[in-house]
Amino acid sequence: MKAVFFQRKPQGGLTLIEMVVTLTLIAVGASAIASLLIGGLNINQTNQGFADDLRQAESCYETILAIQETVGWTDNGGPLSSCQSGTGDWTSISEATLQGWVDVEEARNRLTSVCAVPNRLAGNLECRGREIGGAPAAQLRIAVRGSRNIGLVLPLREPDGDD
Amino acid sequence: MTRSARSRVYGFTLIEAVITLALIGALTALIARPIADLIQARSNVGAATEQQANIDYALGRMARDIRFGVQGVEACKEGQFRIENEYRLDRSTLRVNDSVLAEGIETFKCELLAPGELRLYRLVINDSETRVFKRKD
Repeated sequence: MKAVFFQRKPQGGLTLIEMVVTLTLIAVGASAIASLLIGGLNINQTNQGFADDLRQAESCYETILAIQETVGWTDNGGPLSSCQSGTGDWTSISEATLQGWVDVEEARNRLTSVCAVPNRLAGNLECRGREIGGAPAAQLRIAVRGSRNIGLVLPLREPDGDD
Repeated sequence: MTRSARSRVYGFTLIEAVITLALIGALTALIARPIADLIQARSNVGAATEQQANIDYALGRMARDIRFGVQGVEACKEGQFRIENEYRLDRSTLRVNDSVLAEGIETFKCELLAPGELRLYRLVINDSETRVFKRKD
């Protein structure tokens, strides 16, 4: 019986445990490769989303700048009326508040189509009152994504359309 | 050592080799297809990302031309935009002064948003769009 045991061992093939370990190693390797590939796809998607959000925030910024430099705000100062809370804290600007900033209807529509759009973080507006050389100004913060934002300060001025 | 004794000590039998190869083949067939699909998807996404980078660059370049251009905007319509440089859509290729900016472009549009005194332009390339205020009239 002893002789038979030693003769059979070289022909014994793989044991179940060896087979399971091998298959497990193959599965781990394959899943590692797959997760790397999927991770790459997710990064691309995230970058694309960030670029879209940045364009939205930039469009909001450019529209505010265009109104500030051309048609101007309402007689009560537009952003200044909403931002001069006196506490220096940031105030969130809603779409309804934004409607009251501009008299010219088309310009107002341009503004509300990219800034403070409901259910969209990019383009969300916050503001607070500041002073520039003793004159009142509104500091605006346009959300891009997460804690990233675009900032600008609007001094109270008459629109002249030349600069 | 006789032939039969040697075969018991060394190597696989034909049936063992065949079974092993069949198992490896089955495993490969099981794993290869999803991985090949993933690699294909990654390649597609890579190409789309490169195209999007070209679109972002094109939008940024046009925006810079509008913002700081000394001249006024000479043409702003579907498929064409001209201010110092000329951008136009030639079939599916976006060109600037005959140099290729981006390929695979379906939509290229420039529009002066009303009211015109805002000097606010809207640029659209495929699904990406941005607004630009012309600083100098």
